[in-house]
Amino acid sequence: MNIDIRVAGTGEDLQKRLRLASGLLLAHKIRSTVRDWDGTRCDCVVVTGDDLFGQRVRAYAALKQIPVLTITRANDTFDSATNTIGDGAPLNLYVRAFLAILQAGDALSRARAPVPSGEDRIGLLALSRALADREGDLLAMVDGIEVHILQSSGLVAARSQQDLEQAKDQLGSPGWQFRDSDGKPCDSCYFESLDIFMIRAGIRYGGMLPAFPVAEYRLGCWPDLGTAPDLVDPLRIASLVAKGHRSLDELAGLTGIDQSQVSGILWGFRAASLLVPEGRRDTLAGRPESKARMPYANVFQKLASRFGLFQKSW
Amino acid sequence: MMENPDSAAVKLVIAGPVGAGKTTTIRSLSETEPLSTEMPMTEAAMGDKTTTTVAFDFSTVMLDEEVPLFIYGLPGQSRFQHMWPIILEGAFGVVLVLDARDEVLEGTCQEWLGVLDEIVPGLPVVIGVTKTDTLEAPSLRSLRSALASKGIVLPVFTFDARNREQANHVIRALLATMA
Repeated sequence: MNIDIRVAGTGEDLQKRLRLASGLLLAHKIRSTVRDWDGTRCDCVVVTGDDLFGQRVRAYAALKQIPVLTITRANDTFDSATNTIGDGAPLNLYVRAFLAILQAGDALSRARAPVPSGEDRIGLLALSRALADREGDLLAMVDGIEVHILQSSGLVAARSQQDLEQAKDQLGSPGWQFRDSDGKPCDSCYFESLDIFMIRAGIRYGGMLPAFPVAEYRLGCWPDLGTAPDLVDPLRIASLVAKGHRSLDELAGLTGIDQSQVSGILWGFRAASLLVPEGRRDTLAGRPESKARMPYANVFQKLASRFGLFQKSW
Repeated sequence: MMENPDSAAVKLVIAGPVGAGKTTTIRSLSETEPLSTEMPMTEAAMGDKTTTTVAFDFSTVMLDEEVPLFIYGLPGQSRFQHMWPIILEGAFGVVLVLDARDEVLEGTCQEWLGVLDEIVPGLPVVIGVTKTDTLEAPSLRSLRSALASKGIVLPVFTFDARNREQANHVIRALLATMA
């Protein structure tokens, strides 16, 4: 299960401790991410008690019934009655605090409950599943936002750029709903490339997603990344998958990219319908033996260096 | 790949129909003003296009202090087809530039791919589609589906030929197919 923890008004050192503590939740089979508070729903928000911004966030979270853990300078203990913890408390107390708060906030039991038809999965996974079941266009809805997933034209569309940005923020959260779309978004919609939208989501939420079963798929289409020159690593992953590399270990090892990011990129490919199940024979017909003069290895290195093939994407 | 003991020049070809954006792409990729053989069009101008390349464009990009990359624009007019094998000889790859406004884009694409494959079988190709900003909701899905149905899986990028970063990214995609 995946837990979304946000932080508000905390310094860098404290954020590091919180990340370490959230990592220790893995021992309880809980995966979590720690991100800056952005006003959207989450499983727990951590605030600093004596910080004005932290106090405002705490008040807002109380209105929205979002569990809050407040960090104080008072002592190094955890008080479950007030959900406060000292900033010098050891990591295991932070873990205990998270567990107590999440249990009280019902996040854990909700996460353990049976998942009906993908509704409680995180957005990108649910979207990927919904698109896999359809060939046509899809209307995806979350928190009052509507996003048209136009598979037929390779685009996503929303009423405004702001709506699309908010939708991106929700792709790591549950609560998405879907229905078939008639393929007619609003008159003055804001459009983006479907491939880039999904791949960026995969990169962003890669750490929250299960390991992608790369052995079960092959590349059906290369991603269209023409208008995203910063996305170099997805190009490299596509190349290796096209050549038949079939494990996350291998892909991570060959590219130097973290395995969770490789997995996230592949989830993005999957959501953009760029992958086809292994075993389908209607793609990747053999090409004739190349009579092109391939560049020498050192020349290829120079080409790759000049055009930034091995530069880090993000 | 073999180790090259000498600094041999490297050749890249930009191909595609008239007006697709080959000259603009080469200009974006180049570090210096490309050598161009543009002349005013004698036939009616095609929108903003009032000149046409009458032979081929040529430019150089230095990969390092010693090794130049020669970029050739393949002239799109059919009367220059006899030059195509000469220009393509020795190229490590081709960027096929197509115009999104082409009403028969899929047919144009398949025709060009067929010709390129006939001249140099298996030559690495990447497709760059320009002028998608002129369409209300541009889509390459049907092009990619048509290619995939024939077992052709290669990068198809929308890009702005005037944008250096995007033009470079198309080259990166070509190199990624060869890595």
